[in-house]
Parts: sequence; C-alpha cells; structure tokens
Amino acid sequence: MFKVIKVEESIFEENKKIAEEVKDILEKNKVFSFNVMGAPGSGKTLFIEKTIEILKEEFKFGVIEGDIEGTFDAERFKRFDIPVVQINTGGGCHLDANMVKNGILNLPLEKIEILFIENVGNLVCPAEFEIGTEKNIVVSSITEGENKVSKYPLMFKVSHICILNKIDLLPYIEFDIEKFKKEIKQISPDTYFIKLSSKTGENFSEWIEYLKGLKREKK
Amino acid sequence: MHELSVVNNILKIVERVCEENNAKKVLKINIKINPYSCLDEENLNFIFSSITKEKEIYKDTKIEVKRSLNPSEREYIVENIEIEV
Repeated sequence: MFKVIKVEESIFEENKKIAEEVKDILEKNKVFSFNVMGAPGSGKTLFIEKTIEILKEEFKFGVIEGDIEGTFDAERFKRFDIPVVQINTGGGCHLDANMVKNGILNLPLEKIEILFIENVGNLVCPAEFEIGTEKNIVVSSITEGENKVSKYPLMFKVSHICILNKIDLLPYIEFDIEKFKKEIKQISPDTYFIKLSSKTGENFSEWIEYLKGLKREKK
Repeated sequence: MHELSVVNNILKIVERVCEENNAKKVLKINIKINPYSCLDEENLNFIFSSITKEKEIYKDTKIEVKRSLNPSEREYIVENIEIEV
C-alpha cells in the first residue's frame, strides 16, 4: 500500500537547538558575539585583528577560529594575549552549532565581552547554519567582483552587517560600490553596509563607531 | 559540501518515520527550502544514494526539492515522505 506521511520537520532542528543553547550560554555570560563569514581571502582575519588592535584597551575580546586545517589564523591572535580557540572542521565546509558549543566551553567566557567567531572561508555553507551568535557579518572584498550578492544571496540575507573590504584597491579594480549596495538593499534591506580597508584603515572608524553603538545598545 | 550534513539529517528524520509507519520502501522525500539557498537537488540525490546504497528500503528513493518563500531564511523542511507499507 502506498502512503504519504506528513512530516513538516526542519532538517536543521538539531543544529537549531544547539544554536539556542550557545546563545543562552553567551547571553548568561554577557558575551556579545559575531559570526564572521566570507570567501577565503576576503580579509576576515585581518578585519578582526584590526578591530581588536583598536579596541583592546576598551573591551575584552575572545576569538574562535574555524578552519578546515591548521592553526595559522589562531597564531595571528597570539600577540594580543587574548583567549583564542581553534576549531578544525577536518574537511567540513562550515562551522555548525555543536562545534561552536565545544569551542565556547573551552573559553573563559567570564573574561570576554566581545567574541568573534571566524567561520570557514566559504560563501555557501556557513550561511545555512545558525551557530547562536548575536550578529552575523559578511566580509566581502572588492577583489571578489561586484556580483557576489546575486550569486550568493543567502549569505547576504542572513548577514546583519556587510563589510566591503579592500577599498584601498579601488584605483586598480573595476567595482561599482553603489550597484553592490543596491543589490544588498534589494535582497536584505536591514543589512548594515560599511566599506573600508582593514589594511590601510581607511574608513575603519565607521565600523568601530558602529560596533561601539551596538555594544552600548546591548547594555 | 553541506549537502552531506543535509542528507545525514534527512536520513535521521526518514528512518524515524519509516519505523513509526513500518515502511517497506521509501519512494519519495519532498523537501521545501527557501529560494535563496544553494542546495542542488541532483547532488543531494547522488549523496543520498551513495550513503544508502546497501539498504533495500531506499533503492528507489528520490528526493524532490521545492523552493518556497515560506520557510524562514535558514530552514529546510521535510514536508512529507511517500512510502510503501
């Protein structure tokens, strides 16, 4: 006999549950958290480094580094003397809530005010997995081309903040910032857009002020 | 590559439903996703059949992906499962 069984169940139910747990743990410890996503080489790590460098006297930071292999990025934070956890996904293309939960349980959360979780460099998979962070950031760089929003819509849709990085290279690269911004507005009207250069520091203060504002709101 | 995680999670749901309903065969799994997701139906079916190839119950299973505005941004929903009992 042939039967159709109604299910209506989310495939990510389990991940969602753990993401809620992560959110609770972070909130209880008053940790303000960011899921930093973006393509490999978009400048996620330098963006986080630069932010910590500027605000290290003002806030206590922590970092979780998600990479497929190696501890190269985690090493870069050693100079700040802050808690860093490296998660190796061992081939996995994204961080899931369970990996992040294990990560935060290995951090002294009571000593952290702002936590950056750097996801695996990838514009597809990380967008699908909630990890329990307060805000999602996508770091996109002008060297990637201006059509990233229409090619990877979900990433921009789930991101509360879009950082357009490497604007110091504008004289050498054809990139229509207004077009890029318009595409984000269309797909995700509430995403906050900031263009900057982590390398030269150009317009970086806009992000710093925005971050301080977010932190104030939270208090 | 997240298709593998997706397939594993689908399987967990399907196995449970099969047990509850004494299914002999799974014919179709209907999935609903939001229009912005990058999920490839062909790839999903390929991974599903690779993982389940030892199991008779999944021999003729097809996964069908429907894009709909209803599921929230990050949600994939198993709408229903067509089985033979």
